[in-house]
Amino acid sequence: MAESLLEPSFLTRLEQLSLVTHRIFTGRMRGERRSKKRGISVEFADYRDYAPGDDLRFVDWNIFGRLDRLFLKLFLEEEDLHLYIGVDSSESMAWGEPRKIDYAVKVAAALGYVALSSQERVSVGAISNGLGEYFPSTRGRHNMWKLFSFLQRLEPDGQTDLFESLRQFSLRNRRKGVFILISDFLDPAGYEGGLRHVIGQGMEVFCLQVLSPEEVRPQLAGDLRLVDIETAATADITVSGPLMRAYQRTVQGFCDALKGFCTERGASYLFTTTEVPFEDLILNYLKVGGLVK
Amino acid sequence: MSPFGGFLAPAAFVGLLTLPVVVLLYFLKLKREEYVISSTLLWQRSFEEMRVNSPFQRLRRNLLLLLQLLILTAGVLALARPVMNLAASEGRRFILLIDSSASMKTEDADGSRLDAAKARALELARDLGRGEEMAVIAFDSSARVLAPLTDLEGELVQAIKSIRASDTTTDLAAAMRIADGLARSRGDASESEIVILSDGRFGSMKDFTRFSGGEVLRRAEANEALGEAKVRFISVGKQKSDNTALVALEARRELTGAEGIEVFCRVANFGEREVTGPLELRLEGKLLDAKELSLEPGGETSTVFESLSWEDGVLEVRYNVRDSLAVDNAARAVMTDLREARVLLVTDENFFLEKAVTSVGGIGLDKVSPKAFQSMETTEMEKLLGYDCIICDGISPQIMQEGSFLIFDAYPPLKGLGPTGKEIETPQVLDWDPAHPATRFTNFAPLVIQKAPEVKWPKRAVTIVDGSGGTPLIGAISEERMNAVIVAFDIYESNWPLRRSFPIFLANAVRWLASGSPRRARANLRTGEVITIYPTGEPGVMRITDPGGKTHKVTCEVDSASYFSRTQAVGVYRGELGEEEYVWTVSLFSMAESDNAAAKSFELGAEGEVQAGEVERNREVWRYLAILAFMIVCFEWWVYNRRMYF
Repeated sequence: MAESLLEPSFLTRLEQLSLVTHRIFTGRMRGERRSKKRGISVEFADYRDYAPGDDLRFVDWNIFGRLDRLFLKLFLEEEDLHLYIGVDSSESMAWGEPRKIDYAVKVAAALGYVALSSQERVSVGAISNGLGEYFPSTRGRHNMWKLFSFLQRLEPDGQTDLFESLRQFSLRNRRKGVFILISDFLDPAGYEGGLRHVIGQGMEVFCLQVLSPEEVRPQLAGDLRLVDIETAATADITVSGPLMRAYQRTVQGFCDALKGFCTERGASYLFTTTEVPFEDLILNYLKVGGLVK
Repeated sequence: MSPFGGFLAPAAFVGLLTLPVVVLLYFLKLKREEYVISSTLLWQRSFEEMRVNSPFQRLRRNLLLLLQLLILTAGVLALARPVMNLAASEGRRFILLIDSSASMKTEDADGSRLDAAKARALELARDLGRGEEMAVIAFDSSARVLAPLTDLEGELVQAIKSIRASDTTTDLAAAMRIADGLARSRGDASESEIVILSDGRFGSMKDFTRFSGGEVLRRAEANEALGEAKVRFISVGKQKSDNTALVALEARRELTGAEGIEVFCRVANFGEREVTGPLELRLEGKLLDAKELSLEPGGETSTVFESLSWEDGVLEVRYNVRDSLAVDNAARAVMTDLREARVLLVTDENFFLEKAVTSVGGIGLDKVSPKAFQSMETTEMEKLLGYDCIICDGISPQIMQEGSFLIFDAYPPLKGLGPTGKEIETPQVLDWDPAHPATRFTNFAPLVIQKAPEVKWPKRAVTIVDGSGGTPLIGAISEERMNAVIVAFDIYESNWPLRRSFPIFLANAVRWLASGSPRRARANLRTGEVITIYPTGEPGVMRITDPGGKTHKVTCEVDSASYFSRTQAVGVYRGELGEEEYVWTVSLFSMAESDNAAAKSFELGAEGEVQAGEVERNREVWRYLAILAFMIVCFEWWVYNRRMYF
């Protein structure tokens, strides 16, 4: 099952990757990630004066021997990271060849695997007209099969409502972490409200916009009635040069606006089409984009 | 005045009702193909952007519809036959002069030139605008008004269609006079246009004057505008000729005095290539002789058929080649016209006269005494009428209504003629008319006259030899059916009988008088000439059969000539009156008609050169609209195929 989603050889390569965060989050358990907290680890952080009640195990006896004063050795606490992945599962993701949802699921699986391999916590939520199916916070590489089977079960359904979905997602996940949203962002109501929610919650947000090539460069001709797959709204067009040029400007403007929105709020943005080989995206583009190292 | 001349077929505007149909079809047509996409969000935004950037987007979207409506409008307008009245301010009346002369029978291109002229005339008649009038005049050797100024198209069309080509020459001047008259009949003639539809093969119009002096004066007195109708010339036919023609034919007694007949004919080639063909001579259809004749381009040659025996009948000479004008390929002559001139000499004893008269060849001479003549005048007038020329010596015939007379030393009872009773001593010859047929090859200078009576001559008399006494010595008087040459002195009172000029003058005079004798009414005529009939038998109704086989009736009275003018066709005309039979031949013999290369201009009096042109009026513009519609169709197709890029 998992084989069909990601190749074993690819998984091996993914194991060499780890997620990059720009901020340090507080984890729930001791993990592989540096924490703000001082704690038990091999990495020395600082010294401080002993105060009664401190754990004597952390007293630096060598200093005590030289200076006859009690100092505590402080070590950096290493904690686990919480990775939230939002996968757009609205009907619009069913469009394109290959389907955008398939592409998004693969990306989510790969990133999830990377996180699990690094002993991070991973939770995944399906996003459509609300928060759909939810893969609860999970840790440990052994849980990757659960994650993969969850992702494979995702089927596009419902209209996109990023605001409601992300609001619900935020309410459910109070703990800060990295939030990766994989979507086409084609929400008639706009993506801004939803993203504000998660950004405002202190999440490190990473927006991965997935569009199909047909959306970027439509191959249409003649008099057409375009039907929205989600809303069944129609638009009558007579394909003409000016219209096609206007459309391309619109697509470019839409992507630029999303990127600008993200950049202004300290979030990361990456644009891709299903044309880009998925492996390339993970191993190259996301590295360049600074999500993995 | 607007140049727009209205529509010839306004009913076609019903077709505009199809415009809403196209619009309807356009709405029905757009059954759009449905196409499912992930989101219409971006498309909606694209529309908004385009609307902001391009206010004409709606228009552009409907460019095809607009083009189709334009095509339809142009088509309907074309069907409505709009006309541009390009000469609306000038020429409210059109007077068509349609040439129907022989040269118009030339078969250029499709049909004859007359067909082409008629077709053009019909076009003009059908294009007649509101308030405009047209007249139709056909002209050949005469002019006929077929339709007076009218705006009834049917009448005009009928008149034009009724025109048939004749075999006659062309007299444009007569037609022009009638046309000018018609133009002036409705006030200012400058409102009219005279349109000449012809191949330009008519005589010179250089000396033609549109107004007589009297007309100018009258108009000046009446303070009337001296407007002239504009003359337009529409040339029909090709400017090249390929015609050959018999331009002269004469059958005469052989000059050698032999009994035979010789036939002289002249053939011309007006074409630009050499022509070879047989020249055939027939008598009443029977082939007498034939010659192979070659003619250079533009060449002309004469040939004589000699030593033919005299036979009654009609001679026909035909040059058997194919050319564009058939009517001049044959010419005819009546042999009966070649009988001897019968001359009666009335004299007692006049040695010189008798000697001189008998030496005139080719005449049959009878001689009577003055006494016998006088009795013949009372009892045997008919017999006298049989003579072609009567020579009277010292006596004048008393009845001179008809006939040809050469009178010596006597004064016929003609009005205004008579001796004054005085005598002129040794009158000198002052001058003589060398162009007169009677004075050819003569010299009167050495003539000495002892005395001559003073004679009062009427004004109509023609002076042949002028004398010093103030009166002519020899004069000629012509009346309708009478010719007389009067020698007003006694030849014995002069040295004239001894001069060489005497027998020459006598021979000239007799030949001229005899040939011009109304009795010898010409039997060989040109088309358009009038046949004069002198019935020799009982009066009655003569039936004349023309070459077309049609019979005409002419009433003939005794001692009076009758006339038949319908000689428009070449060929043989046969008359029948009682038991008498008459034959006339009519041939074309016209260089102007036979040289049938169409002219592109001609000189018209003071107006100078009239160039061939067109009557620019009521030009229909539907062709341009049709072309426009076609061009829009092409453009529409291009737009349709390229609308991806618009």
